[in-house]
Parts: sequence; C-alpha cells; structure tokens
Amino acid sequence: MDTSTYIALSGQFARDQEMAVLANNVANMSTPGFKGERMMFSEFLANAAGGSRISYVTQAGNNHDMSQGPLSHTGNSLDVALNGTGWLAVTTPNGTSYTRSGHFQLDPQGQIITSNGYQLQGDGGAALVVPDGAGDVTINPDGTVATRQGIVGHIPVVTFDNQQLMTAEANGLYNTTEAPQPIRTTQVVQGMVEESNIQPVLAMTRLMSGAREMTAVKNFADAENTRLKTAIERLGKTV
Amino acid sequence: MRSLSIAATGMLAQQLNVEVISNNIANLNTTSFKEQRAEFQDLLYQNERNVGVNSSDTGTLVPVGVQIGTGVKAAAVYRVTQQGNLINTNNTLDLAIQGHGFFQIEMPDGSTAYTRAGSFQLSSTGEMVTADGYIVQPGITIPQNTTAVTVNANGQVLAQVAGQIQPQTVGQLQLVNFPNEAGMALQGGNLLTETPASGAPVTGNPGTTAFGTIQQGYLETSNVNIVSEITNLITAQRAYEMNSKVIQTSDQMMSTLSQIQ
Repeated sequence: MDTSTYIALSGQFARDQEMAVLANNVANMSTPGFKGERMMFSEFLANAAGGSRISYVTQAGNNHDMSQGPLSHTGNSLDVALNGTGWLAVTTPNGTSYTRSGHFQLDPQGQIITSNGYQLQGDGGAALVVPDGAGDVTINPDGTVATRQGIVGHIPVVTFDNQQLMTAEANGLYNTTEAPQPIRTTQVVQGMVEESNIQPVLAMTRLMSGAREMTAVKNFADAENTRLKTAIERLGKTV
Repeated sequence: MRSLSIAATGMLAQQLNVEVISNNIANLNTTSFKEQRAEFQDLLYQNERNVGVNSSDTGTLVPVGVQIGTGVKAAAVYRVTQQGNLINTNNTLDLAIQGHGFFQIEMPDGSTAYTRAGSFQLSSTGEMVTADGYIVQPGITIPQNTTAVTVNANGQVLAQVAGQIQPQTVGQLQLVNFPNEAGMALQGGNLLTETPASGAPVTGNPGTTAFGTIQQGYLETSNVNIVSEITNLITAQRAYEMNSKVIQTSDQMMSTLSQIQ
C-alpha cells in the first residue's frame, strides 16, 4: 500500500494535537499561575520498500514554559505572587502538590487554604493558622506571615532541579517526584497574583500557521490522490 | 477536534469574567460594596506520554511528556475585603466601620444577617433600623424629644434629650468578625450571612482588638477601582475574541480535512 497518505495522516494528527495544546493555552489566558505548554514533534523514520526510509511525524513531548507571568494587583491581603523561580507547596488529599496560583483564603479554623480547600504549607509541611481575631495578615517578601499578634509562620518557596519533569494536574497544581530545594532569592509579593504567562501574539500566530500547515498537508494529499488517479487511468488504458 | 471544546471553555470563562466585572461596575456607588474577582483554574490534563518514565533498559528517562489540557473552569468568585473609602454625609445615623467588623441585622424571619452598610434610620418607635426597616442588633431605641444623637468611635450611642444637661447613654453597638470573611454568603441588599466556610461569628465592641472603630456621619464607599475594572474588561474582551479565533481556526481546519479527496 502506498504510504504517502499515512505520512499525510501523521502530519494532520500532529496539527490536531498542537491545536488542542494551543486552545488550552488560550482558554487559560486568565488563569492565575498558569504556565503555557509548547508541543514538540519528532521525526519517526520507518523502512519502506526498496530500502528507502520514510519519515512520519510523531509527538515528542510538551515543554512547560516556566517563564514568569506578569503580576497583577488585587488588593487582597491573602493573595500571594512569586517574583522569580519557585513554587508554593499545598497539601492535597493525594499528598503535596506545587502551585504558583496565589489566591488564598482562610478556613473557619483560620488555616490558609486555596480555593479548593487545600492547605498552604508552612515550614516542615505544617498548615499556617492565623489566630482568631488577629486582624490583618502581613506577608513579607521573605515569606514570613505575621499579624499584630506576632509571627504566624513562614511560607517556604521551593524549586526543583528539573522543572520539565513536573506534570500539570488540574486546578493550577503541579506534581513531581523530585525533591524540593528551598530557594531564598524569590520574593513573596502580598496583594498580587501572577497572571498566566501566555503571550497572545505568539499563540495567535502559531494558531494561524498551524491552520496553514494543515492546508499544505491537505494539498499534498490531494496532489497525491490526483497522481494516483492519473497513474491508474494512464496505465490501465488499453493501447 | 478537542480544540473546539477547549476554546469553548475559554469563552465561557471570559463570559463569567465579564459578568463579574459588570456587576462590580454597576455597584460602583453601592455603599460598602466589595469588589469581586473571578478566579480560574485549568481543567484536567490527558497524559498521552508520561514524563520521567524509563525510555530504555539502560535507565534513560523521557525528559518531557505529552500532556494535553482540556480547558479552563471558574474556581471561585471571591470578594476583595479591602476597606473602601469613607465619605462624609453629615447624616447623624450614617455609620462607617473603619477596620474589620460587620453590623448585625435582625431579619424579618428572625435570622441574623451582617452588613457594613451603615446608613441607618429610625423607625416609628425610635428603633435604629436599616433602609429596609430591619432592626439593628443589639437593639437601640432613641428616646423621644432627642435633639442630638452621638455615636462615638467605640460604638456607644448617646442621646441628648431636650431639657437634660447630660447626654444619656442609650446603647452600645457591637460588631462581629468572621474567621473567613470571604466565605460569607451574599444575600443582596448589602447583606451577608454566615456559612460553614465563614466560621462562627465573634462579637466585640468597636475599637477593641481586631475590631474596627465607628465613624459617625460617614459611609463606606464601594472598594471598586474603576480603572482596574475597565482594564480587566478590555483584557476579558480580547481573551474572548482570541478564544473565538481558536474556534474559527479549528473550524477552518476541520473543513480542510473534510475536503481531502
């Protein structure tokens, strides 16, 4: 069987996947702490009849774009943005996860939690508890959480040797099997959240070129179809 | 094509964002209104190739996996509990809270609601009531023939009755705090109620630890910042447009596919 149609199919499949990744990036344009994904493809060589090799396209992986997103002011005293590399640790029912989505609130016991109810971890993984009636919470650039009644705790900022090994979970959380390393150079900024780091211009241009590439592959498939048709017609012609 | 439904979640999210922003702008002049913000989160990811798994017998690892996200959802619409500005109204029974705390209001069904909108009035019997006629708790009755009412910073209500030299203390206003103010439920009419998320109310006198003080003759304005609302509106509109562009492009790609001969 002729393989060119299958090569074209692998091309179309790759475009379709990339479109899903781009659509997810654009859909999360207003998601705080969201990190963009970039699809990578690789060539897959297969042996064909006659000793030649033909190349399919296959998915290689998607890269997390771990660049800093812009910080935007919210005025909420429990909103925290990280200025620099690093992650905040939260306790989920499945263990520790990491996030840069910095909207937190208090639960009835005064613990600092995410909008999904997961506890923000202080030093040693303990929950941070703001005492009842302590008034306004101040979060200092080094991560120290304090009220007028004194220090509540410290929010550790951690990083990992290879952030590409992190897997994105839903709700702005990331998981990894690597051991967290404390990082002290990253500032914890109170009253701000980190916006998603999607750059609309890049997303839109990639979207358009993806559509054009799909048309190009389609044109190739069409041309191949015409070639086959012509070949069958000419070769089948009785002299 | 997954991209169609993914972009649809993006459009729905931006629509909610615009709704929240428009409610903020509509309440620009609502006493003690607290700005709301929509918070979004990414949806589940489909793992098509796992990161960090062995890619050969010699222990080499897959450096990056293939994870395809499925869109966005609204996680919360939360209130920014920042203090609004105080404006002078010169009205004796306009009370603003400077700092933390809520006034307690007795609802007609006997339950308690909470508000920071202190534009109070007197009922026909001299009781302090809200603009809707609901009684402020603890109940304060201003005697007849009162010429002036003073509410001091600590919430003591003093009435100067005609013919008396000393002002008479007629009551003490109390405030309540919640462990998680942002978890209270909005009821409309500037009222909020307790929820399991907000925690139980803690009552105290104004001016004591963790409670704000009372400013007579002032009202707290809404804390909506019109400049940031308008910029958020523009961002939301553009994001909406871009998501619709993704849908258009996906549609175009599908039509390309359907035309393959």
